[in-house]
Amino acid sequence: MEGPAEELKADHSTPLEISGLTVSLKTGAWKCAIVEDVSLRVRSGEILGLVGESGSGKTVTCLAALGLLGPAWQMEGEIRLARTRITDAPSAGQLASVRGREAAMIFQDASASLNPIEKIGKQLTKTVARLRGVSTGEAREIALDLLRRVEMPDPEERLHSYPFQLSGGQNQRVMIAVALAGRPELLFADEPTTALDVTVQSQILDLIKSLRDETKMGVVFVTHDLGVVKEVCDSVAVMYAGRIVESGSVERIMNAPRHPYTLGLIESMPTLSGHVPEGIEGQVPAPDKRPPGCAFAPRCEKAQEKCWSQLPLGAEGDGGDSVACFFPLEGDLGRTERPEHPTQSRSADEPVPDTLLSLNDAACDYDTRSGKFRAVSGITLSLNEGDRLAVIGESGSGKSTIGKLMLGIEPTSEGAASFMGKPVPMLGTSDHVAFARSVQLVPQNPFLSLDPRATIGSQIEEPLEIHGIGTKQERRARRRELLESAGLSPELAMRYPHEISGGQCQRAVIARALALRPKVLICDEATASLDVSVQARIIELLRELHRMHDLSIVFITHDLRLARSLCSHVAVMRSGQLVELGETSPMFEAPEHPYTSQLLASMPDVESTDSPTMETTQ
Amino acid sequence: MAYADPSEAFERRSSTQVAIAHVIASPVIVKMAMLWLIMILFIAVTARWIMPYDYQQTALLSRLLPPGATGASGDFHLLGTDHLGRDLLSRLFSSIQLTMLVAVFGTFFGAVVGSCIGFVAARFRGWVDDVIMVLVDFQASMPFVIIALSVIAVMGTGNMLLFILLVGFQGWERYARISRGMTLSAVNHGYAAAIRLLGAGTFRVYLRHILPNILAALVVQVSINFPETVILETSMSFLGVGIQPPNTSLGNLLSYGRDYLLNAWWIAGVPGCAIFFTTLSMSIVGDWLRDVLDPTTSSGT
Repeated sequence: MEGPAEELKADHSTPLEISGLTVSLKTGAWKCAIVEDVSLRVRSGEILGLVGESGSGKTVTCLAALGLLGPAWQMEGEIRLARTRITDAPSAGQLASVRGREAAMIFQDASASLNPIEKIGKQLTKTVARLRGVSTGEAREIALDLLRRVEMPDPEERLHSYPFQLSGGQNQRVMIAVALAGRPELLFADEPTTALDVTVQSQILDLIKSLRDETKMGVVFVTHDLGVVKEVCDSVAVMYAGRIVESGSVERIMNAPRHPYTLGLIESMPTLSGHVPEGIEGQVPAPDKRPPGCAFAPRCEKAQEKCWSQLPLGAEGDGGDSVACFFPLEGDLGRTERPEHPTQSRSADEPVPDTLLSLNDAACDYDTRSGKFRAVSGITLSLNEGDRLAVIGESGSGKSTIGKLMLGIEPTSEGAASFMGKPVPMLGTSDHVAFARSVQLVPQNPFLSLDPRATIGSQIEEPLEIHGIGTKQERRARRRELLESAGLSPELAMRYPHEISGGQCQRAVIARALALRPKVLICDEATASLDVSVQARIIELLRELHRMHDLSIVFITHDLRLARSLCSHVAVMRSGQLVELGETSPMFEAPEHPYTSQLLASMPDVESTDSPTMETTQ
Repeated sequence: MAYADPSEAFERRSSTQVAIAHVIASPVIVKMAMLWLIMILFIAVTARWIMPYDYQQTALLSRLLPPGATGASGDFHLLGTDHLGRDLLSRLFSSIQLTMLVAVFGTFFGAVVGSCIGFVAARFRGWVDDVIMVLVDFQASMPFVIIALSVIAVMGTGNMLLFILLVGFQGWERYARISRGMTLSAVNHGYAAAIRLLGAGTFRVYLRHILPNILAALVVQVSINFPETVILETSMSFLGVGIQPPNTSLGNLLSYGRDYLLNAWWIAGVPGCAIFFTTLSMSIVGDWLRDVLDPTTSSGT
């Protein structure tokens, strides 16, 4: 290493260079490596995508580079920013000069990262004054300029707003403005768009790209969404169980992945063209239970004896091609054959199937402090036997309300919700108990919808108990059957929800919903809290259940790609109105409503054909 | 697939084993407090059999004997005697029994009633909830002793059952608040809503699912309330509106001793210490319980 230890010669072409970074968590005598032997490099003007599922060490790597880890963490290896070397236990003064000036960071939840009781203008001005050493008056001018640069509407007005008065996307813009205040050479973006709606997400992604072009800063973009990576990144480093397993240019990784895990991730992504996602079996090993050999070996189809015992040489995320695998894959990702299409058009002579659930000009009001708020209005749609209907929309579009109307959780204020010709009974009435046997819900968060103090088995059996179905032995047998059909091993019956993974929890919830042999399953963002590889397997399970048990599904989601891969029909919602309704493939190929086209265009897609902005890198 | 399932290394321990492990790992002061409480509980249960003399038997020749003295009839008094020559140890045992009886049943009653009121508020919402919450606020802003005294003033002294219920009622508003708040959060999003959608009735949702989940918080509240109940009982008895002679509680003992503080300190000192150490132990164990039962500080497995 050249130069003095602390202050390095300014190297503006490489704002970040990490070599051999190992970060461990230490409590008492217990020590566990979370990130192991990570090396990566970001050049000026480059956007490096750091990809991997939860628990792979992406965020810890970024936090280590900014010295943001707490005292319980230990760091080995080297992190060099443009001018400074970050060591283990860096001094406060050293960090103060680094943060904001050499590197800045933006987070997933921008509204939580801003001070809720201070006006945007004041927060920005303070940061600018501190980082640039200018007077408050000047800082105010710069703050305004920054807000303009992040394309904030009405920047003068916004200076006087509090964070809660802004939308999620606007808050993220403010966060980016704060991050830019010290003209950093490097920006860490930790899932900056994950909590945003797709249309807002695409705006923020565009903003990050244009700021990169303008300032030539390097960006480390942490995400789990390969579609987003394809949109914004120039190069990619894939992390698994604390190590970088593959790196390379975004085109090479997307088109010809060489590590089986990368391939698995890409295959897990649903696409707008209807690729049926295939998940990866198993789950990421906990940091203290990583195997001695390749951490991916237990989930890898191609694993051989060598993989279990030896660690493949680490890949380096320096933009060059490298892969940490003994038996890397060769050749392009051959996605030539179109997978079976989820929509089978009905032939004319087939009898028209029965309508199960239908909403007829339905509206729903919520009581708020300022009076009634109309969540949805004039909704007319129906679910026929065997249909898989996707209800798509952004947050606040009223898509969940449709689920609630169908389940009898909310009453219709106008119009009617009916099930097999009869009105949907309200939750809490005696009619609802019988109705519950036909229509069931799979909610978003599986951990929240299972009783933490009851075993999985008893909860799966519970619906049978409630409805007095079968004897104790019969219920036991049915429980086994249900666990199996949801892809769970029978031993899990004795476990408690916190003892099993998120994917297994969601399977248990599905098993419980299926106990009463319902005709309709309403899934409200049922996979939104899961990793992509797990999400893909849940989608697979739902498709199988549809086939085997003749289940009709209402799939409420914000992800058009999932709708495409699972559903036969799509209803597009926007601010409480149904804007488009029809069969999936015709609508995705030729959307009629401009809003549908906008949604489709905003959706990041691993198969998108427009090339990412490679030409801007030197 | 040796590493595929992170729960393989997981070993199942029964809840008894977990509890024992927690007790063994507890700090010394907690162990001492638990030991004291076990002793008090033992005395409360066996008082009738282990007391050396009849606690009502007077011996005017052996009045105000100090601890360790031998009376006129040759009786040994470990803790001395009171102003009527009654054996203080026997009276102490009898008092502990009655105080504990009032505190245990009273606390239990208060916890059940308070939690149920909270459940009712959360279940019906609307005006029921409003009325209950106003009562809760009303209760919280008024010393319970005043209410207890007015009830006794109207109903008269000497009714033991009434007294137990009255003392136990103390703190009901805190149970109500806890159970209402936690029930609301469970009902609105989460497992309770999911179970209701399966067709479950109110009782199943509340008793089989919500109660076990909020039990830990209620148990901690019991451990905070219990010493307060003991103190309320003793204060009422001290004032002469609680337990009536010939029955005796720690508060009665204390009030007899008041007149002899200067020349026979033990009459007030012994029950005073008993009250002090019991409530202190209860608070220490309660604090420790709160830490152990808190899901954010223990992993649960």
